[in-house]
Amino acid sequence: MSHAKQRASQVMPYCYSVHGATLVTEFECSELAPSSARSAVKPAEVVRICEGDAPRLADPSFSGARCWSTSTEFRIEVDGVATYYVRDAKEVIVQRHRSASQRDVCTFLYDAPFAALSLQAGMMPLRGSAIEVDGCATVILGQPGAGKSTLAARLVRRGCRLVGDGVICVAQDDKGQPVVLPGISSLQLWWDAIELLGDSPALYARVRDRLERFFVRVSGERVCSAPVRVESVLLLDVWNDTRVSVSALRKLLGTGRIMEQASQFRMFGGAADMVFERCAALAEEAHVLELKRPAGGDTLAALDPLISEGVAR
Amino acid sequence: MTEIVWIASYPKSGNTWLRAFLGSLLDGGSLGLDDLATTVASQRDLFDEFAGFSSSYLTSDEADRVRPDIYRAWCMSSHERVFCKVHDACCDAGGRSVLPEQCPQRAVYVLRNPLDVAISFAHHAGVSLDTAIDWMGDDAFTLSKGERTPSRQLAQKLGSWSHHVETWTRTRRLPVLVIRYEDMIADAIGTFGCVVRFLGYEPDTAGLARAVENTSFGRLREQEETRGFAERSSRARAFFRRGRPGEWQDVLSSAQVQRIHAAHRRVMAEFGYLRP
Repeated sequence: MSHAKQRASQVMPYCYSVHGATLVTEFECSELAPSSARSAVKPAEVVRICEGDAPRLADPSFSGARCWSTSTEFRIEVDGVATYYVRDAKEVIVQRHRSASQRDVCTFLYDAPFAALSLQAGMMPLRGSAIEVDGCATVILGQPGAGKSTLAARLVRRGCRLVGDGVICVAQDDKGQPVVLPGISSLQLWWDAIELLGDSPALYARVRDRLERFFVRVSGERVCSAPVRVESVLLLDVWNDTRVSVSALRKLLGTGRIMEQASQFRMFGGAADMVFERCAALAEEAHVLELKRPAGGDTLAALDPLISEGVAR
Repeated sequence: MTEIVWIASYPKSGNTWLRAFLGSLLDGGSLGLDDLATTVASQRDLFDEFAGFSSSYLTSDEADRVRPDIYRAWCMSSHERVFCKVHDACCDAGGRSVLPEQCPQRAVYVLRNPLDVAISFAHHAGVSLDTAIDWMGDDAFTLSKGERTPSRQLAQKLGSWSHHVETWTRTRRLPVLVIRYEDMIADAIGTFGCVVRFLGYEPDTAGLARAVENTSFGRLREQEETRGFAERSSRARAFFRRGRPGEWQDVLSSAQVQRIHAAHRRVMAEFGYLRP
C-alpha cells in the first residue's frame, strides 16, 4: 500500500493549486493559492503532501550530494530542515527535522520537490520568474543574484501580472505551444531589493528565519491564475561593463542558453530528452533575449523601458 | 571517481595566470583567457546542481557544511581529472574545511608577497589601500558575504593572509605544491614546469614554452584590453593591471608597510618576503 493511501484516511485539510496541479496537504502552505477545485478533481489526480518517513531510493540513477533520483522517484535531504520524497507526481512525503520551523519546511518544499513534481508530470521546471501582459508571458531566467525576482517586481508595479517566482513550470498547450503555468504568487525579494523598491522589509514574512529574504505577496488583479503562452525569454546577467546590453539570440544559441538554466535540475534522471525538447520549443516559439546589466541592484531600473518595450512587442 | 586539482590562493596572487597556463597547456596551446579549464569552487550553479536545492536559501555556514559533499559528488560524476579555483582558506580556525574527505585531490597553492597583494586587492575591490590591509589582517575576513542582497558566489572564508597561507602550506589533508608568484615571473619555465611534474604530466619542452609564451602577463593583459575578461570586478579598471613584483616600494607608505609587517612578519619571513 502506498504512503498516500495509508494517509488517505487522515485529515488533509488544505487544498492548493500550483503548477497546474491540485495539492492536498496535511499542513498549511501560506504562500500557495487556495483551491476550491478539490471536489471537482478526481482523487487520482490530486497530489498528496503529508508528513512521514521519507523512503530511500533502492537504485538511484542519479546520486548528488543531498539528492537521489530515478525516473519516478526523487529524494532530497536539507540538513536541519527536512527530507522530502516525491513519487510519480502523486505524492510528497515530508520528514521534518525536529527543530525545523514550518516556514523553512515550506520554503524548501517549494523548490526542488515542486520541481520534481513538475518533471514527473512531464513538464519542465526552471528557476526564475514569469510575468504576463496582454495574454503573453515573459520568462526571466538567470543565475542567482542576477535580479530575476527584483525585475519581475518592477514589472508587476508597472502593470504586468505575476505568473510565478522561484520554481516556474513550462508545459505545452494542446497546440504544442510552450505555456507557463501559474506558480507561487509571492515574489522572493532580498532586503536591499525591497528597499530599492521604496518598501519596508518589516512588512513581509521571511523566506527563512535566518535569511534577509522575504516573501512579498502579490494578490488580486496583479496575479495571473491561468496558463499563459510564453512569448519571450529574458536571460538576465550581470557583467562588469557600465552599459546595458541587449541581444537577440538565434534559436540554436537560445536553446543552449535555456538548457544551461534547466541543467540546475539535471538531478532528475531520465528527463534529459524531454528537457531538451522543451528548451528547443521555447527557443523556437519565443523570442530569446540576453540582457546584461552593470552590477548593483539600482541598475535594474535602467532595464525598465527596454523590458516594457520588449514585452509589449 | 576522478581527482580534483585545487588551484588555491589568496585573491590577486596569480591564480588566474596559473589557470590560464594550465588551460593553454592542456588545450595544446590555446591563448589563455578563452579557456581557463577550471571550475570555480564558489560557483553557485555547481552547488545547486549537486545539492538539488538552491544555495540561495542557505546561510553561509549551512552552505559550508554541504560544500565538501558537493565537491565529492562532482568528483564522483566526472570522468576525467577536474581543476577548481578556490580562494577559501584550507580550513577555518576550528579545523573545518570545505574540502571533501576520502576524495582523490591535490592542490597547487600560489603565494605572493602580501605587500604587493594589498595593492592589487585594493584595485580589484575598489577600496583604499588601508581597507585592503585591514581585510588581509582580519581573522574573520569573508569574500562574497552578501547578507541583505544576494551574492553571485558562495561566501568564502579566507581569514587573514597569514592564516590563509598557513592552512594551505601546512595541511595534511592533501598533497600541496607551493609556488611563489615572484618565481612565476622570474623563472616561468622552471616554475610552471614544477607544476606540470607535480600534476604527473610529462613536461614537453616545446609545449611548455608555448603555453608560457601564450599566457605571459603581457599577453593576458592584451587579451583583456581587446576582448574583456568576465572575472574583472566591476569596481576595477582592469583585472591584469601591472603584475610587477615590488610595486609596493613605490606605492605603500612606510606606515602601511609596517602594518603589514606587524601582522604577517612570521609567515612573510618563512617564505622569503622579509629582507634579512
